[in-house]
Amino acid sequence: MIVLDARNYYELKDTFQKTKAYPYKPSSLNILAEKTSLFLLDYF
Amino acid sequence: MYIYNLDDYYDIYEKRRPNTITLSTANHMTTCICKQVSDCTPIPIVFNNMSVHNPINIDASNICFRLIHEYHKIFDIAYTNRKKQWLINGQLANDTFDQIELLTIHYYDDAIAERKEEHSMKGIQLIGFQEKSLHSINDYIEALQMILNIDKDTGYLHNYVASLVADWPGQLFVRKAITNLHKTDSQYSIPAGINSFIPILGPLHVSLNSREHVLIIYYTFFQKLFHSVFGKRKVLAKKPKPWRINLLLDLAYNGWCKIRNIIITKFGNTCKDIEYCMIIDLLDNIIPATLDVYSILFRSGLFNEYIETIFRIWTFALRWKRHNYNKAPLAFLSDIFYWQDTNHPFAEAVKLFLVNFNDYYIENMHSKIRAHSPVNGNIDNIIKQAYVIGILFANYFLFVLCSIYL
Repeated sequence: MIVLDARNYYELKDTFQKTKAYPYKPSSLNILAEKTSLFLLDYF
Repeated sequence: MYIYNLDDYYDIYEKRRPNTITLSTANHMTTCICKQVSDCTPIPIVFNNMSVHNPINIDASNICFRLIHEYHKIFDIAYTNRKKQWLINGQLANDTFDQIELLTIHYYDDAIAERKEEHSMKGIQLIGFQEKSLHSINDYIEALQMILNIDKDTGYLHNYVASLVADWPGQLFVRKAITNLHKTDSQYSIPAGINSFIPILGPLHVSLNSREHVLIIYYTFFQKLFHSVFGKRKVLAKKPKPWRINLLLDLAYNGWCKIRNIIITKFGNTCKDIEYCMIIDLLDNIIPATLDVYSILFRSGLFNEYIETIFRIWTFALRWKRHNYNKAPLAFLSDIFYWQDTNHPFAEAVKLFLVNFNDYYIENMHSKIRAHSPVNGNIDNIIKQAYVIGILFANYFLFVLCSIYL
């Protein structure tokens, strides 16, 4: 019964469907880490 | 065995501006959930005439004894080197967790695409969600009564341990309630059933708070790093969001790993410059310990490594004079050492089923309730929403159906 009601209940639907992606991909994280290494080298 | 989570929930859509009558319109509620660990049999409160509750409460002398004889030389080694020892000895697997997954560790809901595989909410049952603030012993006693009322029918907790994973006030007030229960001249009226509860340190709270405090203590350093990596015009908040703290700590550690050997070779281990020692301690010890304690050690179920790192993080909290967390880990460690010394079966239960002693479940539940509560929702609506989510978690089959077909 809850399943049938849930089909038309958008707030509940969003609970299980709405997704957000993390803003950085592993490749861009690697570039940021390399920029951080340069900062750290300079810091030392 | 059942593991319980108890925490307070407040509505983020409250009006924070005070008026002549009230300071805030926040709705304060109490949530109690439980997770069954079906592979673990119930643990008796008293085993071989030894109670699960330490008669001297927090045993400072035993903690000192362990620190001097077991951990003293370990804490002289930076966490990175200690982790290398674990990797060499095969105690820790390399590259078990995905980097993005580690960065989203403090996104409690699974709405983020990378956390869709998180299935640990399976079998979670909502015990109660009621309007109540948690600010005193009596508040906690009343909240725990939700569990005890259910137990009147089942009798499940009679003479058995119920572990309660909670934040600092949860541990403090429940511990006070248990202590008062055993006092003959207590001013509180404590139900006997409270004796079943044993407060446990919430690993998620330790991780979140220690990461946040690292950034606050070393703010000037992280501000320079932030401007260097993301641009001078960007502004780093004084208390950034958890995802940004995770990102900065992760970048600092990964950036450090790339140049670590060059720097150590250049300056050596004998350089006594205070600024150099401080930055090495931050990059080689503090940051990796706070990054790993929950996300890798706890979630991998590595009991000994987790306990050691909790002790290590306590040393940071002591150094920073961090309220609550300069005490909370000691209470937990004292209990662990007591159970080990007395051969109480609860020590083995924590060791074998460590990953279940988590406070993630209640944070996930709160995140879902918060995301689906209407902006001007009254308490009744929030409570209804909580129970709908609670029903879905309890019926995991229904949860999967909704995920697939909606």
